[in-house]
Amino acid sequence: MKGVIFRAFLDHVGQTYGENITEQLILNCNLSSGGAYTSVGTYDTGELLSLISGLTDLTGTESTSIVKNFGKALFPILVEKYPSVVQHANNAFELISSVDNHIHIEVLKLYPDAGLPTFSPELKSPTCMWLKYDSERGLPELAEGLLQGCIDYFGEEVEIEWQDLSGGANTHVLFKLQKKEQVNGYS
Amino acid sequence: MDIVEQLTRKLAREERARLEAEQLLEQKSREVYQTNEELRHLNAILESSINDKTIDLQKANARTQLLHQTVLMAAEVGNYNEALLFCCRLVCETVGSPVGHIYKIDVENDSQLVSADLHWSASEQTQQLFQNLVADWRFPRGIGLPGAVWATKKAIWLPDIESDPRYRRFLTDIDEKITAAVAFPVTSDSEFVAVVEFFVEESLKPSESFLGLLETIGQQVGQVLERRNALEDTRRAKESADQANIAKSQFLANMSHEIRTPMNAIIGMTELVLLTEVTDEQKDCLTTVVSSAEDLLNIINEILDLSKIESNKTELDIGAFELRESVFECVKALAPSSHEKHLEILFHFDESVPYRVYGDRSRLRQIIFNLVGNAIKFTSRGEVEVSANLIEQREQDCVVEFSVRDTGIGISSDKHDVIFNKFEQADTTTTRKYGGTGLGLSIVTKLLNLMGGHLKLESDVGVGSTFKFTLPFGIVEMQNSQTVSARLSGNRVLLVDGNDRLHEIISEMLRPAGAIVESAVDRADALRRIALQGTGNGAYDFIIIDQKSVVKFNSEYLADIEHSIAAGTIVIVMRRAIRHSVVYKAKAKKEQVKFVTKPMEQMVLIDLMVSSKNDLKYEVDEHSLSSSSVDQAK
Ligand code: HEM
Repeated sequence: MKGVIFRAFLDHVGQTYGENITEQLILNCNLSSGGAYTSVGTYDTGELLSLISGLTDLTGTESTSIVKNFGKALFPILVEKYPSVVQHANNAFELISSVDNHIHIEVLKLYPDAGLPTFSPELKSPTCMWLKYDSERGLPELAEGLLQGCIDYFGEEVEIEWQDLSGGANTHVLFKLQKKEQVNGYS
Repeated sequence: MDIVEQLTRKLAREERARLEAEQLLEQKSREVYQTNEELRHLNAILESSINDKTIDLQKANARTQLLHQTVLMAAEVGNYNEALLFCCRLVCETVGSPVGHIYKIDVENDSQLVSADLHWSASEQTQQLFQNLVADWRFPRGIGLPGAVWATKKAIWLPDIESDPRYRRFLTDIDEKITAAVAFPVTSDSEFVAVVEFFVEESLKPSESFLGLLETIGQQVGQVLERRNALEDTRRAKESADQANIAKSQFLANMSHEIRTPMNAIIGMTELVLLTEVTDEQKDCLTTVVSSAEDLLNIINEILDLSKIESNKTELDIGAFELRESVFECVKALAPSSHEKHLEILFHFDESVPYRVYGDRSRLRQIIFNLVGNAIKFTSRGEVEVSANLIEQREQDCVVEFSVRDTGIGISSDKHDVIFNKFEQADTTTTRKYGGTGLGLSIVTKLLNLMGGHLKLESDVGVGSTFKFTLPFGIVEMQNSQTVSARLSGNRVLLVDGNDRLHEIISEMLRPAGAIVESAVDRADALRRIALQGTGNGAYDFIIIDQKSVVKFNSEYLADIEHSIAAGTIVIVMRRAIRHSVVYKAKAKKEQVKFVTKPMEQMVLIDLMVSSKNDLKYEVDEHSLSSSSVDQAK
């Protein structure tokens, strides 16, 4: 997992629970990197998982919602860091459709060793999209958070549902995105 | 944890992360540098290989150009020297050599090469200098660069002519950079013709393949020149041969006329003299004069014939004629000369051969005359047989195969082709021994060609030869209207003769008439058979016997036979020639002895047999009687 994700995670923890918790978390987790991450570096995905479970221990928040919230926060961070990557999209569906064949490809150019999922989008109707997520890392909550972040970014209202297709491993997951009906001229 | 400690920790982490990031960056930089290096290296390799390829291509191009030009040039240039010089120039220009020249084998001493006085130089001045220099150079075979090229027939590069152990040469006067030389052979059909040598800078080391190319050029030039020379030679030879042939034909035509006129006078006058009173001795001499003159005239006619055929002046004279009869006449006319040599002459036409045909009668007779005449000439014992068979028949026309077989000296298979050439006999001693112009077969072949026929020869040395030819004819009448009716039906004939072939022929001749022919091989056999038949009704109706046998046994034989056949058997004696006579002192009635001349014609034989049977009482064949009683000598 790239350092950029770790840095974003620690920033997110600091902002959500305070710097004190961040320091405590790093101390508790006893990470081999010592919690010193540079965005260009690559670190063991296990460090992220122990940070997450460490945070559950410290705060009592369920790990799934930790991850989901992190994803939600991660999206604007990424957009801020790499604005050119998202400029082409006018709405959430457009952007989501381009993750696999555009955004993550740009990521690979920067970080050839990045471990990325594959997304297969399918537009069922102008307001409904199915999105298949495949990743050996099995992080659908992170994806859900990122999707939510993306939707929030465009100021849209989209309902997200997902179901695991891999019998609990979460490596193959189907997302169903349903755009809410326009109400009184507002989108 | 207080705020200071928090910040200190965070700062420490940031520091560590920054260092790590820097290390990563440096690492990446090194990787990029490395990659760059590799790229540059690959680029260099690529570039040089492109360069090499381009150079190769240019070279190949230049070579093809060179080869192409050489061949073109050789085809255009007028003579050997020009072609060699042109070739030398092309090569020099292509490789950038300032000077080149040619060696040939010394006419005065064929073991060394000398300058052929053919030079090429980029400048006039060099040319002059070089020419003087080269004049003294001599290279024995295998020695020095040109000598080595001569000996090996290979193109050779000599990097340093000045250090060539025995044949140091210095061209630095001409161009100080010139120290190396290349030489290659010009060959034609792998025969050595010349050496082309040119001088270059040492750095200009030619590749193996370039040396190979030079050899190819040398071969090409040699070959093209060779071909041109050969072509020129044949053209000239043909021209002069044609000329000579025309002149010869003309001369012959004139000469033949010039000779024939006085010749005819000689014959005519001599014959006139013969009519006057002359002594026996004079008569003998004059007869020889006439027959020699006739021989000579024949020869002249043959020559004239051939020159006519050769100048395509012969035209066929087509008409209807009796085929069998015409051929038989020829054979008959030649029979005396065969009988003189004690040769049997047999004549046999298959019944299927059409009776009257369209064709050139006189040409056919000329062919038969020639072939039969030759057969008799080259046969000293045995027989000559003329026969004909129908081999193809359609509604209107047919093809007949004639064959003339002899038991003569034969012709070995390697001479078969030669004898058809005019003026040539199987070997020249033949002419001396057997005489003749040697034109006969040549005339026959030419006539046959003209008539759509074809001559074949089957021969075994010492066994004999058979000449066969086929000729097409138009059919006029298939069968003779006066057919052979069964006029001798049931008659029994005993042929006393050792010749199987004669037996076959006579059986076949008499079969249509209904006669049954038996044969006895010799006297004893004949007597045994006659005795077996008894003298009653069972006796033979005819006995056919050769005059030769009768003579041989001093007529006792005939008497024997006669003695045993009181029952009216008719004896038919086959004699050779009318003039020949038989010692005949038989007791039997003369009318019971008949003579028939060989070769026998079917009709003649049958007629004779029928008539003698009819009038056994009877008339005497005057001619045979007189001739049979006169001459006592043999
Ligand atoms: C709706 C939009 C997006 C979604 C749903 C999404 C989803 C994901 C997910 C689920 C992962 C975790 C790896 C995995 O599951 O195998 C991931 C990794 C990543 N994504 Fe995205 N992503 C989105 C947009 C972006 C954008 C805009 C960027 C910024 C350029 C980005 C950069 C990355 C990076 C750098 C990683 C980490 C790869 C690594 O650590 O090896 N993503 N993304």
